[in-house]
Amino acid sequence: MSNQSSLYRRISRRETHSPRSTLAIVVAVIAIVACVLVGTEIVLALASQPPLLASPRSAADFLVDVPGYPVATVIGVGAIVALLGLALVIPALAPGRTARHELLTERSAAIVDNEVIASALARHAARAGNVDPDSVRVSVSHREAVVRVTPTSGLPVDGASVVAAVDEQLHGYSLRRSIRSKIIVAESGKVGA
Amino acid sequence: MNNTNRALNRVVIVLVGVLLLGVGGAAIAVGSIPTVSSTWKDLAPGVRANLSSFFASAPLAGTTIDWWWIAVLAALAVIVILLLAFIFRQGHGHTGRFVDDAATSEGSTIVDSKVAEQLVQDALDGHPELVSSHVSTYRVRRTPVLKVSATARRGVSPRDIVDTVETALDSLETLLGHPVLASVQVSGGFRARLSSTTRLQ
Repeated sequence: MSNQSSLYRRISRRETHSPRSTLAIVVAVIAIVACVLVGTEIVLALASQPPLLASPRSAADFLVDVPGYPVATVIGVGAIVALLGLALVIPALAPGRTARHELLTERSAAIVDNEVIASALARHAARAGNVDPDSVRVSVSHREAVVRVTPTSGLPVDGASVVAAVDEQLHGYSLRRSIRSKIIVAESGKVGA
Repeated sequence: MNNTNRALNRVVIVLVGVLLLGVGGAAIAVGSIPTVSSTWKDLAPGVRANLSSFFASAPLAGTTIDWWWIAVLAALAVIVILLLAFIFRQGHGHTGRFVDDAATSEGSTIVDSKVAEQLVQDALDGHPELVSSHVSTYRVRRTPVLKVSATARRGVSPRDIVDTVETALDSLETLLGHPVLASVQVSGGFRARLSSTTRLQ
């Protein structure tokens, strides 16, 4: 069913990318506040009441006078505003991938947090390396799984068997975006663990 | 799974961002480039005078209030309403019907989402490799899709969890006699961190 697989593709894509909802809502709320403020100032000016911050007339005067202000102030404020704009444009155009991986399966759209992959890898690496589970640190990113093993003092860790165990696990998960493994065995061991 | 309009989210953010970039860039240009600064000095008073006379060109009969101010206020109100609609448009997409087939001569079949959700939930509750699970139903492209969110116990292979959930989904499909589309989400998170490590090997 191609219809079903395209549906699953859509779900997987949406679940592995940020919707940018929080940022969009924050921007919309600030825009609403700005519009309401401008509207209020206009009404106050029309009713000949004192303004809250600046009447439309004084705001226009302020803009006309901009070249007369100290150059450093004008450039500084301009740079801050431009940086704020950049801080919105960049996340809006960036893909915004979430810390998740997609498992290949026909039956459903399966999405797994990187954290879950990391803890499963940690357990198997600890078993293969014959160390305490607390002595293994794993971090999983979009492309790479970094496994850091701290040996127990006096017991050398068989790096090759750790590599084999981790790679076998990663292969078994059949992730859509396969990840490389990188095993780091610490130089010095930890006593008693 | 929800039907948030993500393209619209990004468009709104980009529009405001480009606006700020433009204002900031203009201020930097006025401050740093002498020709821009002198052009601004030459043109701005004229523009301001033109705007003032424009906002006095269509006075409301018997008052000093101009129609154009009313138009600006109305435009602001429309923008605020659109932005509010935009905010409340986020999320959504749940559905209460899991099967709602077209009626045949024998009658029609309707299965509520609750039935499917509780059946899958019951099937998953006893499994030791899951700390917890939650099932909900969303409409994706007009098709009801089950969303199974499972919190994995620490150290459990994600493949095992997906297989477990898919077995439950297959059983539901057999039971209902209707295709069951589903999304499985396996997460770690706070509860998984507090729970004990798996003993399965």
